Amino acid sequence: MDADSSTPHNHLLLVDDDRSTRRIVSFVLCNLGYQVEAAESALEARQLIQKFGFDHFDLVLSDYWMPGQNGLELLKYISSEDPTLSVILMTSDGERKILEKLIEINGCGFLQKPIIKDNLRKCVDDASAKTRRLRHLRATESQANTLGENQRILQQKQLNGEWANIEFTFSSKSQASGDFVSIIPLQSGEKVLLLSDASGHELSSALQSNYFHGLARGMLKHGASLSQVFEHFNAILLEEWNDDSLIGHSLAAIALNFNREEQSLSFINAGAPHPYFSKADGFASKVGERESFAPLGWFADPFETSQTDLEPGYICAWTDGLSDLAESIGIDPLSLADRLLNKNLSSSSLLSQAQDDIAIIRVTPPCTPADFHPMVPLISLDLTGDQVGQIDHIQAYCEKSIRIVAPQIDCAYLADLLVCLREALINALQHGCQASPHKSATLRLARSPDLSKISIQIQDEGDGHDFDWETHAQAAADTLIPEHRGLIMMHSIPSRIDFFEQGSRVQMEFEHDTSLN
Amino acid sequence: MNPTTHSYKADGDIVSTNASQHWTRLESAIQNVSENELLEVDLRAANMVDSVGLNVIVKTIKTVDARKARVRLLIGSKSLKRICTFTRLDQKAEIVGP
Repeated sequence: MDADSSTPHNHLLLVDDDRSTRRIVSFVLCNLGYQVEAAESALEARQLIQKFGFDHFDLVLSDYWMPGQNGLELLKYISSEDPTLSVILMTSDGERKILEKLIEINGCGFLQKPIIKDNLRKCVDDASAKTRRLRHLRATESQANTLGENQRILQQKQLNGEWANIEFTFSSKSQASGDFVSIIPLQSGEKVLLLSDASGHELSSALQSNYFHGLARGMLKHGASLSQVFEHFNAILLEEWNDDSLIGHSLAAIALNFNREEQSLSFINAGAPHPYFSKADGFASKVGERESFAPLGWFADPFETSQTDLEPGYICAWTDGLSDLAESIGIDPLSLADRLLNKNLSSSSLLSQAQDDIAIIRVTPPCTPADFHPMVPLISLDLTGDQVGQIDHIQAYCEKSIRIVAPQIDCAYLADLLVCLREALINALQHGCQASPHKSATLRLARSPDLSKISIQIQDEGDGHDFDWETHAQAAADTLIPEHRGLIMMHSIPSRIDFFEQGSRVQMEFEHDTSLN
Repeated sequence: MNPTTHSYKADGDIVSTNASQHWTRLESAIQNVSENELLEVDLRAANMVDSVGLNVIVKTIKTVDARKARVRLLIGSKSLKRICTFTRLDQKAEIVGP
């Protein structure tokens, strides 16, 4: 916006009880291109403001000492009603120090009497430009709020309209978000779930992300492949990145393509956190193999493509704001996603700790029957044998992850579960993986939809161990041998335990007679 | 006549990562236990005792037993009491708890 004071649109309110000052300053300001309204007191100034409205004025130039209310009281009134309207206080040299301090606090301008024309011009020009800047910002903020609200409504409606069993939550740190999710139905009957996260938190990030979805929708409906969409948008961003006149953006994106006929899921990932796929048992694993990929806009061809067979279960995906928040709290991102998707629990205090926008999506694949409710994944950890020394940390991580989902969980039930988890995991890392950094184990934890059951799966690379627990339990009791007590606990505490592959994979279920909440 | 009672109070969980520290302190307490006396191990601050922690308790029971004395376990957690039952420690020591 042009800040030139010579335009006829600049309206100034001059307040001074001294008639000759009003006349001289008005004359000078009119010659400078201002339209001046004059008032002889703070009271009259307030009446003029109420008559014309705050937005009518670009600046208030007021004497400090006036009968009735002084200039500072007028300043306080204006600041409280319209903080965008700049105020300049005029005073003589004797009051300068007091005013300078007050002005510092209130952020208004200051003009020393007797007034010098050049000083007056510079001071009013700067102050009116400041008013225009602040009002432009205010208008932008309002538009951004509207845009953000529209973004939220549109996403929710679009997602619910396209997919019956979809859970979605969205939280932004500013008015509009660079995180965006949409579902694109294809003519073939397939559905593409697209999740993106543009760098930055400004409006341009939201536009970038939304533009990507619009472009993808158009290209996919005209027969382009997902790879072509990603390649094309990557090329656009790479070109933009190299254009010095624009601020470059990168965009992390993931596209999940559900093929109902083939019962398969193909996906492309460019810089987004790995999605997770769980089957009916809720034991989730990352989809994809490589650990990380560059977002679109950094390099040519940076993304990963992969395909997996589908079964009834869940696909969970999110933007990196969730991964970061989960890491800072010390819990599993799957648990945090489950908590944030739970509309019955308030998550405002959790979200207040987030440093970034968060978008989470959890869907059941199209092959999942409508009346079938898979277990919900909560923890998915891949560990190496040498992490056995971190067992306390891992246990605390699991406990926090469970508590975030079920804050009212019964302590004895949780202790039962944790001691078995600990025992099984120590076995897996210490014996199955021989505490080696080159051998790995997995820990998976899931809950039933009504939270009445938690199940755990722990698997290692070892050969397993044949264990006759009845015999060993009796021996442990009779002779107080130190061995096998952990396995005895694992056999006795859970509602159900199953060993597979000679015990290298163990699954435990912990049922509770009532819902954990 | 009540036997002389010695006591050891655990300040929290007894698990694999702190079991040796608990044993060092327990061992000192056991040194003072004589025939027909009682060692009371207070586990009420412990929510969890894992298998290595249980081994510390087993070792305590065996060492005290060798001195012809007895062990009483004070337990505050239902979960821990169940574990003592499952692992049949209740047959080797007196369990007091919920």
